Amino acid sequence: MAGYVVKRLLQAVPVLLGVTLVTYLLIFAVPGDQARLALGIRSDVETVESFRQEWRLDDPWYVQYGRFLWRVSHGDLGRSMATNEKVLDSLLHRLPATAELGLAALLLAVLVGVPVGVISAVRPYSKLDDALMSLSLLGVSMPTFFLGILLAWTFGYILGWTPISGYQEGWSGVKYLILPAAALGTGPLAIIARLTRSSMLEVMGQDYLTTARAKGLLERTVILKHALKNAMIPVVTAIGGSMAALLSGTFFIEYIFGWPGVGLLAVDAITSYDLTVIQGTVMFAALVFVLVNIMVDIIYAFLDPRITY
Amino acid sequence: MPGAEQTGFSRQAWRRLKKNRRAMAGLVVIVAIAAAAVLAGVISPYEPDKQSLVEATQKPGLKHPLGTDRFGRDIFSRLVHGARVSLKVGLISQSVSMAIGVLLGSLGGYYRGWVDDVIMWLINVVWSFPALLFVIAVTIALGPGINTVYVAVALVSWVGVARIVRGQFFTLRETEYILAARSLGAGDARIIFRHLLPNSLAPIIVVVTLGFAAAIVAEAGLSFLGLGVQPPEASWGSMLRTGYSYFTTAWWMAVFPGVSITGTVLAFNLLGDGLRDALDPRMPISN
Repeated sequence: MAGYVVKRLLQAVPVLLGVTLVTYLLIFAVPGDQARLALGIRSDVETVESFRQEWRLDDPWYVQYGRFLWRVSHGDLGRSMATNEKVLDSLLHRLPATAELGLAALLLAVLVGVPVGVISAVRPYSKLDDALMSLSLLGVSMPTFFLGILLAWTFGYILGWTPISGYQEGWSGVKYLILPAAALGTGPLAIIARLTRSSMLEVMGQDYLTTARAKGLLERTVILKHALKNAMIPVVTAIGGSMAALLSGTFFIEYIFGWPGVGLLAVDAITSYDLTVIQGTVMFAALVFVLVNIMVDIIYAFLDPRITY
Repeated sequence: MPGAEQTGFSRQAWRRLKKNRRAMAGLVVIVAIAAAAVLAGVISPYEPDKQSLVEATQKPGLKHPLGTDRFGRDIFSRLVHGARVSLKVGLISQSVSMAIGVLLGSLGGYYRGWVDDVIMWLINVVWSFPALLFVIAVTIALGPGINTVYVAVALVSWVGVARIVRGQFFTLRETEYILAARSLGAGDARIIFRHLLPNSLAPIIVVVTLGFAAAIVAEAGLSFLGLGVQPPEASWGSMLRTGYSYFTTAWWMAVFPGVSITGTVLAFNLLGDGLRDALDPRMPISN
């Protein structure tokens, strides 16, 4: 097991190098003066020139990439072009709000998605199954940003149950959290429901469940204890997969609901063309995504001892 | 022989697909939207960009079936023209992504070794980015605009095609009929184009259909952030962007573009699911 964990972590090294290379090249490809990008618009000509000399910006791109990698591996993501703040500081400052929103959405997705999938699988092709799966497909198909606007409009504006936008720390802030978390969690919820259903259906046909039934166990015990436990294994992977939807979704949802997290930071950076912040957030999101997927793989191997390659 | 087998197989698949009511509903919606896009000039009652400030922000009614926006432009006419953008993004990005994906997937799956290692590394790197964020980053690097959207979406969605093709080649390469072809003296190119690719076609069709849906969402998302289609041209995403700023006073400006996006994406997902069941009932459900 320990060997597998080490192996999986080592596998991630070339991928992470690739991630930094791609993010570096993307911003390198942007036409413009690298020195000015790093120093900010307001810096004068002499400062820019001395910066260019100091950072040897006339070197070839791969030499510069090497230095970029060195800086990034030491936690230096550069400074914002707009505010001159350190990018890493801004990211860490905004992270708690995003984590709160993301966890709430993920919790909703798992706590509702898994039961929906189980209910559908217990009576496959019934009217209820049909209705639940149609709703799930709608959930998969509706873009997060449209769902966000719809929820804000219906529950925030017409019904006035919750505020349309804003943020507050602690328990009094829950009323601000409900709508964005629901909008963000619906896509992953639908993905998890669909996967739980198909995974349950696969397990339900197997011999050991017939044995469990033949022993005279209650149907409820068979489904919840014997089937669900094994059906959950692929669902764990689905949770890793839905992280992509969550991470991209926060960009739109934080923007729509004025949620002061990493996503809103990024959208503001896009609007003001703040390249260093964009580069930092994209790399940060990819890093989180890679780490979550490593964790999912490790949990997967832990749940299913057959997987130790 | 493979040619004859292919016809029989696709006829069977079509028969299975026809029985699937959801998939057929999806197909009908797609055909309707495609027809609307092609005939946009004929069926839209107004010019999509024609402003008429006296008619600004009108509710849906007899004169403007889906209302007007803040410049008095007819929402229905703009939606019909926006369908062109969405379908074009899907069509172009998926064609490019299929070309790249089939090429790299075949190379990796057929030759294995270091070629496959490099291609697998590329696939894993692109997959390390949440897809929509990757598309956003590429768009910023290349500069906003519709041409960038095609490239950006293709650069991320080829990965799905490449993985499928590579996986297919891995398993098919070991089958007896490939061994038979090889012992009859068939070269690499002949084996790839005559035998391996035709037999990998079914999953490619499924991935590309679902990729179409993802491409439409990506365009809408980019335009919603102001990175896609530039004004005054109409796209569903850019209409949603303006509608969002007015949703407390003029709900129709956001709701109709949003429903168009959702409906079209749903149709492609329904068709993609149906194709998967019809072409290969054993294929696992992907997300």
